[in-house]
Amino acid sequence: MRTLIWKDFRINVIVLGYGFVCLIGLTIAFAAVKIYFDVRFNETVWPWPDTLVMNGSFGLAFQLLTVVMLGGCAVAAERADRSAEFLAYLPPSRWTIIASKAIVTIGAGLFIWSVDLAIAYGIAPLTGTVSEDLIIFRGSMIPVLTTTAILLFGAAWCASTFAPSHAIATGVGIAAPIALLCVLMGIDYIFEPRAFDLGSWYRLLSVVLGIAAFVAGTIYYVRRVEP
Amino acid sequence: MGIDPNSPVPIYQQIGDYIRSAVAAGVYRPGEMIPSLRAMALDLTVNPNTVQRAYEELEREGLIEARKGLGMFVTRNGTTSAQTKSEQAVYSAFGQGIRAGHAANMPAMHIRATFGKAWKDVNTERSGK
Amino acid sequence: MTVNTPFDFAIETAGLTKRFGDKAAVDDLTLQIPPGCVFGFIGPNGAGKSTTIKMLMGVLRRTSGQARLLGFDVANRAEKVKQRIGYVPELHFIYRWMRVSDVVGFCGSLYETWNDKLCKELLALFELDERKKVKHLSKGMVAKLALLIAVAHEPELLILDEPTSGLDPLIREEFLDGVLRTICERQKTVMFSSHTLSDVQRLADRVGIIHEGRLLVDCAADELLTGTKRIRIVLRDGCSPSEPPDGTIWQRFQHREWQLTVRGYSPASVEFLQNKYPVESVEVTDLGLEDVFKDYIKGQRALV
Repeated sequence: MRTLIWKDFRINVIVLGYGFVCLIGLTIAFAAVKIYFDVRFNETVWPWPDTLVMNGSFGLAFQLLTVVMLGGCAVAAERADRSAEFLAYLPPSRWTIIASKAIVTIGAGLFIWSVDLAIAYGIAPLTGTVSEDLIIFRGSMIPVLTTTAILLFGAAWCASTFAPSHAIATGVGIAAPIALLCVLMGIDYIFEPRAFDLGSWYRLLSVVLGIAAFVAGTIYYVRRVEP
Repeated sequence: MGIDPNSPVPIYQQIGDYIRSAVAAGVYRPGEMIPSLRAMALDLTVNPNTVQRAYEELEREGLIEARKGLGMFVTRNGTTSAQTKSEQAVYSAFGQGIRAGHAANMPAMHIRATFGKAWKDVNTERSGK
Repeated sequence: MTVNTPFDFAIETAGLTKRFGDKAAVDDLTLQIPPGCVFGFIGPNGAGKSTTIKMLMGVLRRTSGQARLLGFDVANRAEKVKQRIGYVPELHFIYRWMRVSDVVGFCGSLYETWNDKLCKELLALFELDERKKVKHLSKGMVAKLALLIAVAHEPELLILDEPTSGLDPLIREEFLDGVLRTICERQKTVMFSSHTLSDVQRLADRVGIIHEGRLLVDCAADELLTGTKRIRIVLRDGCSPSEPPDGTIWQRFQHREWQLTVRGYSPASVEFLQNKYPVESVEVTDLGLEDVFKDYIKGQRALV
């Protein structure tokens, strides 16, 4: 299992690289902008707590791409270069193979996500009081981003189990939240249901559908004969 | 030495023929060990069962004998036995030539004359070398 | 720890069939290969050799029929059985970003019976540079690496799908050498499909000929070659052949000359012909595997 994890890590190294570059790059960028404004206007335009909340929140937005790529590449990357066919006749069972992929992609995804969450929720308050606007901003952005990430990953992962390439699987992943949003907006517009809170429905359904897609894709992969 | 897998002559027979001619020519003398089954199989790139079949037939002929734990050795009268076999092979070759002549509708005198010519030419060539 | 249940045949199929739409790529294939046998699987391009092997390896779903390797149903793709089987495919898709040392380490950790010493010997024998990435290896080197992976864990069963196709004669020799070392171990079963009939003639105990998905022949290599002969008959004028003797797999009549290839030849076949037809002359010749193979296929095509 250890070597499988190493192998899956190496396959995803570029995506993970993007994720880490964004993580560190954005942190540096936000800090640099804040310092620049401070120096330029000779006053604290963005206090540290607010800068860190924005850093964490926008960071998560950038990591949506990381998450969808992790899901899309999970199985389909090996199908695109046909190395899946090589792996197929080696001893590891389908369960072992997919477990390794899940550990690497979900593990890496959770790690990166937690770092940004830690910046926005944990480190920011340590540097001072977060302003009201930013608390509201954080409270509305981060849950949406998190549930969207779950849907993105789940859909891309599911597509990855049968798509011929990781590009297609990633595309399907990206389309999923957009499709969900369109469907919900359509329901709201056409049927005009009472007390229809689009935001809540979107958040709930993204999580449910994301997890369902992940499970369905996993089961399909294990039962499928072709690599 | 290599065997010809495309030839209609079975490979075990080719191996047997080679060992017989090698013994007849004195490459392997009585009492000497011939290559082991595995060594021969790897050297010729053939299935060891095929080599085994060849060796079994040579053993039946009395050309070689097995010495337990050591391998296959040329028997004391192995060389003479091999030479007899070589003669038989030459006899077959002549027979084939004659049959080919008949199949081509050559009259018997022609076939004999052709043999005489070949005899002369080959001997001249050999003495020339 | 592997549990070794006893089995009669290393490879066993019964009525194995694969359909793509209407067409049967493999049609009702029944094979029984005993342990320790070297089975050469030959057939023209598209005959169904690779399809059969892929079904045996469990990477292609069969349409119907049964297939078992070492007594286990291939559809279960049991990890236990895969530990005991080595496979060399026709096309190689080993991770191109890995170095040879990575590949060897990766595969070594997946097989319980991986023999490090044998692995090192083969790396040296095949002259594989451990530091090179797979994408920088030549075709022949990749083939040798694939063979190394397949035999270094000392499998009971080795399956090779057109292993030497596209390889130059020197590499092919090295490759066969590597396979032979496995054959020289007791009770190792080998099944290989090949176009290079000389390879099959060298290594195979048993031969199977497949054509358009159907198995034409499945018998001992020796028996096939000694029992199949070409008869060349010159007939007297005005006569044309109508009924060939039993076991004729191919025939051609051209200008008084009737050539036939007869399976299960005996002097009775010639007697039959001499009694039935006005025969000028008869000649019987032995055939090599390539001729037998070609005649079988030509004979089948003539039936269509």
